[in-house]
Amino acid sequence: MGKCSKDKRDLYYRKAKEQGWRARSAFKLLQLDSEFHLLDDVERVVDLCAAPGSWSQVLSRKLASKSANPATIVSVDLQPIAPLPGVTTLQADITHPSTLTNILKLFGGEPADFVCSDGAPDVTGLHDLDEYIQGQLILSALTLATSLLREGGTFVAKIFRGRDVDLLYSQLALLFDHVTCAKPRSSRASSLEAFVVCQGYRPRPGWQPESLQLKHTLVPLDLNDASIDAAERSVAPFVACGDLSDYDADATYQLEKGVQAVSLEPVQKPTAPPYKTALEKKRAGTLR
Amino acid sequence: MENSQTVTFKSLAFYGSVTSLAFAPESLLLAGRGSTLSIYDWKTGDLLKDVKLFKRNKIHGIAVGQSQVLIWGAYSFGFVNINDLLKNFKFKEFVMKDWLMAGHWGIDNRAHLVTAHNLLLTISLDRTKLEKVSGCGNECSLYSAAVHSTSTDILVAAGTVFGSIDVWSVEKGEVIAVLNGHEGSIFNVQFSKSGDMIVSCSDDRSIRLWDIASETCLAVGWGHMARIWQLKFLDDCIISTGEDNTARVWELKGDKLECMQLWEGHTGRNVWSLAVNGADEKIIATGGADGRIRLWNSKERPQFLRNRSYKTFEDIEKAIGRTCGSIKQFMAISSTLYAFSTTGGYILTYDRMLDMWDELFFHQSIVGFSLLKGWDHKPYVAVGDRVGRIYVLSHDGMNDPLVLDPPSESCGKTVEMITLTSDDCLYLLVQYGNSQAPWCLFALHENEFDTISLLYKSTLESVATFPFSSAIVSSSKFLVIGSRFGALAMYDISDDAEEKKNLGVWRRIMSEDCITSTVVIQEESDEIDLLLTSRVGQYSVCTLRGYRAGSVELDKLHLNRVAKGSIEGAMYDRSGDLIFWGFRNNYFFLWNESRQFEIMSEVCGGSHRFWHFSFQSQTDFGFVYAKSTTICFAFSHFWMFDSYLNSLVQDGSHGREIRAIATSSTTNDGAALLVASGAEDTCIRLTNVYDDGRISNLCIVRKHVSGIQEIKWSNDGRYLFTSSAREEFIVWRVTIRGAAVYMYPIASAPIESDVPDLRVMDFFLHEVEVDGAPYFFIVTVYSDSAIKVWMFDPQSAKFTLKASGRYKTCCIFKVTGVVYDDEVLFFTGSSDGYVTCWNLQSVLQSALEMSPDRVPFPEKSWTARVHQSSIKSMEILDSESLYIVSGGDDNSISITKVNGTESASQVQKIDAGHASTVSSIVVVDKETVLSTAVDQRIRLWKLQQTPTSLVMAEDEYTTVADTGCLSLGRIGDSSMLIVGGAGLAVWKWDS
Repeated sequence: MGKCSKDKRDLYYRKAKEQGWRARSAFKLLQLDSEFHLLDDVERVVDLCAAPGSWSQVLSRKLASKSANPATIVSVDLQPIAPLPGVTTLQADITHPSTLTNILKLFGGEPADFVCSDGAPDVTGLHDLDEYIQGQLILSALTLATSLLREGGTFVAKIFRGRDVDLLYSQLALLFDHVTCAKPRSSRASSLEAFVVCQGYRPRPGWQPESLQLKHTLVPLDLNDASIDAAERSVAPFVACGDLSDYDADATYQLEKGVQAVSLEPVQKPTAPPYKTALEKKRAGTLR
Repeated sequence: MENSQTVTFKSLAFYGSVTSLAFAPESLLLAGRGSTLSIYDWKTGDLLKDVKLFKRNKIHGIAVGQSQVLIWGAYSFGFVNINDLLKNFKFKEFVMKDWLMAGHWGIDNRAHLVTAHNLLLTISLDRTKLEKVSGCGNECSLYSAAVHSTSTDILVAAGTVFGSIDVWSVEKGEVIAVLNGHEGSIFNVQFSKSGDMIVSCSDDRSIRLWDIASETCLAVGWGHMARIWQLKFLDDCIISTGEDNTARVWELKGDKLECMQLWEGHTGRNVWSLAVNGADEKIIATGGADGRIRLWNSKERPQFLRNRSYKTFEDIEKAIGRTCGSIKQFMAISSTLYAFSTTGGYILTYDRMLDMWDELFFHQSIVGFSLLKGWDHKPYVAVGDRVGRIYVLSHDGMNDPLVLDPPSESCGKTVEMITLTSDDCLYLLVQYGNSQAPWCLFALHENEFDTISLLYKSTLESVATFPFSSAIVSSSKFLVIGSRFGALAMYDISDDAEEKKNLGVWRRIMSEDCITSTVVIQEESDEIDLLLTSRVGQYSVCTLRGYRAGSVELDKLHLNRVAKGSIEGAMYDRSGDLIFWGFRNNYFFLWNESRQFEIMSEVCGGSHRFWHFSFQSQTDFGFVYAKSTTICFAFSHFWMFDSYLNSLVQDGSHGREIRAIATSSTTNDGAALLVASGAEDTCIRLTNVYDDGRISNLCIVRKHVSGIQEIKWSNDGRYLFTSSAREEFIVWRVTIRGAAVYMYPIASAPIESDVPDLRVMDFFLHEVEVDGAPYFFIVTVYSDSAIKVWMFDPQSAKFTLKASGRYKTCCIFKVTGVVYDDEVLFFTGSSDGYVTCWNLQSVLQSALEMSPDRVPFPEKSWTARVHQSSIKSMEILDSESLYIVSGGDDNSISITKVNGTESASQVQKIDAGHASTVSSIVVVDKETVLSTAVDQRIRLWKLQQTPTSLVMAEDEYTTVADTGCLSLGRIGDSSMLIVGGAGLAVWKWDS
């Protein structure tokens, strides 16, 4: 077991290592781009929740190395991101106001063409809580995106397609001309993960994501007005991305003999997980 | 839509995560199960009431106040009067704009809630207004929160996603302490009673105790193998529960929190909820993802063996007043009186109630060697010596011993002695040291005044390499003996014939390991059902039949293993529950297999010792064991429950995501469905589902080594087929015996690859008859795009691979088939969104001719792209035309018209069939289809003609998250629908 078995299990995982991507999720952005041409003619890009940096890597390879007019790329995460050519990394909290100021400073005050977020919390297994936390993450990314994007700009974020996903679609549809739910072929059908591709940003004066929060509630509030579930729901059109000739994330591939035995080292070692000490204690046999 | 008026869905029950628990006055236990509040009497274990409180949200918290109960979950909250809990109360659900992390009753009887963005909401005393919103200026995201009220202030402890705990004062509106030390999100935080300390846990898997005033960490505890979800502060300890399926009790030792007790009482993964009884803090309740609610005693481990005493050899010799050597074996004469043999040739008795030792017997021939046995709870003791002589003693030594001589002088010592009881006599089955010596059976008669006499003595026709390990006499006096090498032998002992003929020997019943116990389950005319257990932890149910006619056959009905450990003994208790006992690592355990929980355990050092276990009833059992030079007596003591069954307040289902459900066409109980389910926990469960939503677990079998993909029954319900990763495809023979249902794995499809991830995604069964015998023609589809066609003969349990091919390289999710114009067609649905038709006729023809040869795999007949990406569900709708209804990862539902092997055309595509992956489709009848998706909706569709289309007639929300499978069944006039995913739900619908 160990490294070898995971190599065999997931072809994208192996391909990522072979092609030097920091994580298999690089293929998701590549496949989203091939469908939606997200990276055509973009000059200023923000990658939120970027660590370990595979999406930034895609942005770097595709946009920073362009001979004419290389794009300005800013990657933000709470965790440190190893340096990438042509990418400015910010170790910052996306909900903090100073982050916006810092990004705008790097763009010379110009708005962004494209904001993306591949961030996800550690799922607990309580599906409703996990969806809520993911929703909050998207909302934080969206809040920042609405302050950064130019009119007509694009926002892409990871979502969990659970019970409240239709509510999220409705909210996004207020701000963008086209909202699509996209599933790259490198994302497993067995996972709830998908991506919202929001194109054609249409700023709405007065729209404040904070309006969704309670701190602006006027008190006293008659609880009878806090009625149950009248929110509007809609379903965004679905687009599968990536060519059918691309590898299938759900399939089991038989590797040629010989290839199988070679285990590849990860391109970028994972950032220290919070439970690192617990793991060390477990290995030492002192956890019981 | 006329139809929609006549269809009614009704959700009856949900068996999934217990997300909240709280004790209330009068021995009530409140539990949040989905959006339903369940009210139990924890003392009797009775479910008093189930009431759905929230429309969609799950109940994540319950706080019992002075007169009311505050209940919250996700965005919702509401109140119930304590006095109304068992009445028909009206509940008002209030919905906030943000997630509610915690609820709290202030000392002024105001209710407070903390939001996921660190705001404290205060509800007015009349519960009609949100009175106040307080904050500390930092609206960061929280994973947990706790509130503490004093007469002058309210403190909020906020467990942030960044690893700090921010304690803030509502009065000051600012943070008064920041507790830094954890890494990762804080999953739980609790105040101590006085409010000066905090205990917390985080993604780093540690528990930390903090002093608020000095902002210092007082102690750290490590132990949980995965994340920790819940904490409770008690006076002298801390309780935690977590993802590793355990609950633990911690005590402060210096700067460490030490794990003093570890409770394993749930199945699967995640103990989500925890409650402490306010009146008696010893009583703790836990609720898991398995849907179970367990009660524990925080002051005791093991929970039930409370009476414990120890006797050293020195104590014993002092009590006897002489040197008698060290204690060897022991047995129970009654639940209070024990007999012991010593190396010095003595037999002693000990009355544990009177704490009195007695010398019962001494003989030179048992110095240094003896074998001690008894008939549990009979007042006699049998002692075998080194020359094969046996002394049967009465417990009080009042009568002379009955001496049973060996058949000859060259028999050697008594090496094995098995005591047996029948209605009218006692038996002693003896094996001697000399392998040539005959096996002896002594029948003994119990007379008045506890005396005993020999009825007759006979020999048994012996069998080679058959050392006795266990035996049983059936009520019609057939003797079945188990051996240490896993074999079984049978004898008729109904008459007093001097030599009993052997009726049969069966080797390797389960394995070549010791058969540790044989139990008669039932005996009817010419059939005995036996339960056999083995030391490696396996158990089996077999039927012996035809013994009256003289030719005995053995049928294996059931084969399973316990989750871990050995089985040393077994019995059925008063409720008919199967009870096992055995050893695991360094402890002895008592396990309820029927309900899957440990009744008690005792750390004794492991199996290598003399021990005796006696089980009288659910309230009366004892484990006595030797540990170096000490004898330990541990006895049940039910100070809080009538029996151990009450420690399981609510039973549940799989503790992991359910991936497949199938309802049998037959049942063991006319009032219930027989339902098979398979989950990520790799187990297959058989469950009875009743028309009021109740479920009752029949058996859980562990054979698959990876998560279950698919389950299907044969048409007659006699066979069950299950598939998973590692290419596992297993055929089970299912036998109904009265109320019991047994499963025996008769065959597994040959495995051809060494890729562990190779999943048998789905299969299609086509039943055929050859010369009157049933066969299964099976198509299995794989995650590597392979397709295999098998002929399976259930009589010989043999698979013959008839053809194998490959679709492309992508994963095939679904396969189904149909007989069309006398030809068998099958359809695959794959991750590229295509449905492909294949004609199996040539393969079937060869199979029906019973040819063992492989034939070429058929070419595709047609292929049609009906989804953008993976096809996750697919069924045949045989209406006016033949249709395939499929559901995709692209949220859509598609109807494809099939023109045989000629062509196919998509007639409708419902793009937003659901808001997310359509995970299951069930065809109800020629015009009705049910679908479900990860959006937690169940939709009923009606087929309309001109143009052909599905029109939605019903749309319901289900509490089951990660919704993945549906199964239909009928009980009387009721149509039942069972929904599986993260939990299991039972629905009823009438049309």
